[in-house]
Amino acid sequence: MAEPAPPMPAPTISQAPLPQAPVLNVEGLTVRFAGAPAAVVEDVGFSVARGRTLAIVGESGCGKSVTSLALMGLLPPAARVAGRAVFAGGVDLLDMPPRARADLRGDRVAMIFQEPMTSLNPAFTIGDQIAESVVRHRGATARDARARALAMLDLVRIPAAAERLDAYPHEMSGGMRQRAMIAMALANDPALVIADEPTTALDVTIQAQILALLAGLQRDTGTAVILITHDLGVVAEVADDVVVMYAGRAVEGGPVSALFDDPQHPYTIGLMGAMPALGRRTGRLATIPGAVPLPADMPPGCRFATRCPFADARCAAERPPVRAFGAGHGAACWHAPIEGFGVAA
Amino acid sequence: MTAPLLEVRNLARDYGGGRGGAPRALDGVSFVLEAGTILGLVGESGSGKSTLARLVAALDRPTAGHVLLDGDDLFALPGRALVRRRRDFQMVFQDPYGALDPRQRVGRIVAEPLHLLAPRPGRAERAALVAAALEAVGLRAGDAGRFPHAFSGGQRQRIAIARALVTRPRLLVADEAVSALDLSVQAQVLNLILDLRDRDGIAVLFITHDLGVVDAVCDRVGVMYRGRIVEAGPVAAVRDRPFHPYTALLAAAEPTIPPVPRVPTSAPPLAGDAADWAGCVFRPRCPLATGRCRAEAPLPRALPAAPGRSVACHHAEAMAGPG
Repeated sequence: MAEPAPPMPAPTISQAPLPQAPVLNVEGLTVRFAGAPAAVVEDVGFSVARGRTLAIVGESGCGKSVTSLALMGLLPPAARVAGRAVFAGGVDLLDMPPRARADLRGDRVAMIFQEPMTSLNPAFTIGDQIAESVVRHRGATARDARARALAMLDLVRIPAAAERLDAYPHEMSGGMRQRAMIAMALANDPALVIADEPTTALDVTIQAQILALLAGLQRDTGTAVILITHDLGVVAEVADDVVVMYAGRAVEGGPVSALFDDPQHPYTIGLMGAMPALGRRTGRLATIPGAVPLPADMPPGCRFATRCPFADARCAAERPPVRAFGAGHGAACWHAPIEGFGVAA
Repeated sequence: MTAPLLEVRNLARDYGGGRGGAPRALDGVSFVLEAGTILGLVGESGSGKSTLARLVAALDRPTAGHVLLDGDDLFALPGRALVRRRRDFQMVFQDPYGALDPRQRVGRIVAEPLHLLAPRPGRAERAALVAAALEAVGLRAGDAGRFPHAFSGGQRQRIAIARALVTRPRLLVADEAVSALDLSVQAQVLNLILDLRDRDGIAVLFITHDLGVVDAVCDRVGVMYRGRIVEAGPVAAVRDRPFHPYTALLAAAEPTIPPVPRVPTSAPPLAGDAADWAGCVFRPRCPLATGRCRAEAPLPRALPAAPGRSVACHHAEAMAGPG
């Protein structure tokens, strides 16, 4: 029964029927660092449409942040990037002259980072930092850029915005700094925002405010959002589609509801069982035994094979293709569908 | 009636240098932790939970109040006696990368607290205790010869827990001990903590910002806000019907699968608004606040209908509802 693996097409596994042409379409994204034994991101594909939020979820080292940095062109020179990332049906983000990319970054494509304290410059006021990108990309006068910065602080509901314009980052709380980061990212009406763990450093009540703020702004502006996170709860709250990454590969993807109701990949199932959640007390939590293999020890087949309860010889030897399980829902597993192995309710 | 394993009475801690009227980092905190149970303390940044952990572990001295272990006030003990008592309570810290000396072998790291034992164990006995501690956390005795860098994050946190267990303590103080870990690894460490309670009868003061984690492993929970425990009780009862508006706010903010409709959360007060410190600490964010909440700080109290729970809110009856 062991058919040879079909030739690997770029597995674009988050392909819910899109309402319109995608803002970003990524195919076969592969990132390899010179001298490293394995690619840190391998053959990852997804797309995200206007007004939609795509979450990329996974644990430390799965490649989710490298994916976002590759799209932004922020990886160090030692990184070798292959694949395509077509933005707005036109340019390829992975193959652009540095100058053109710099023009795009902070303008049509913006990024929100995890730690607002280290991503904001402590030596400049919030207003100056927001105005800078408006001057750089829109050629605005200092006066117009300052007016734009004020409007943005109002938009992200920073109280007493006119006074906060002249505040330094250290004078603001973590939640307020993250609001300022969002204001900066949105200042030029980007078509795509990449948010890398935007609420991870924040308290849970502040996180709820920031996520609600992002969702509201997205409704008003139609910005597409790629949300990088490790938190399945955040994914369920705000994302439309999700890609689950493990050890540099996308193992499962699809609409959020399909993925949470009917996860197909053993890694996704394991993650959901390991999540402590309110009101789901079952005594012991499900665990995924072992740890992610080191790059030098990556199995040639499925990278999850070393920890998977269903793994057999084929899993270790042959990379599983992405197979579809309903509209836009796909998983890369030889054993899917796995019957009778739902997540404990 | 024997004394409980741990009793904290009216504990308070000021950090110096505050301007007049600055709030205490910890104020009037009292609770009891019985042997073989896990008490979760949950709260956001600045709630005083780490200050409390350091006081319970006697790594800092309180401004006022008492920490009693088996009825003995830790801060009334002479210095040497306190050092000897440390074998009974050990601490596990958040960051498994920072908490282990990268230049020491695991065996030496885990053996470090053994100098608290009197008489000091000999070399062979030390090795046996280290091996037992490593095996208790699911590592191998042979791992004693390796260095921390050879281990993953979850394994390092197990090493930190093994170090805390090597003196066979009766109380573990875990300050955000799983917060830095990935989900699959976090589940391994949480299960280990449940095993320690069920197999060895160890009590755990489990400090975290994550309500889901509290729900998974704790028997009782205390909810902290601005240096006070605003609500305490059995985990399931507090989760199913919070009596304090802050507990309800915290639970509503927790992202869940499937998502629940969001209750709009009130913005926290801006720092430095000194007038806000009158009365109840939660008043500036509270949807139920009235004039009484400004005039009079609520003290923890029991509701007649809910034995085993306490709440510091003038409006707890309204939260508890009829029946």
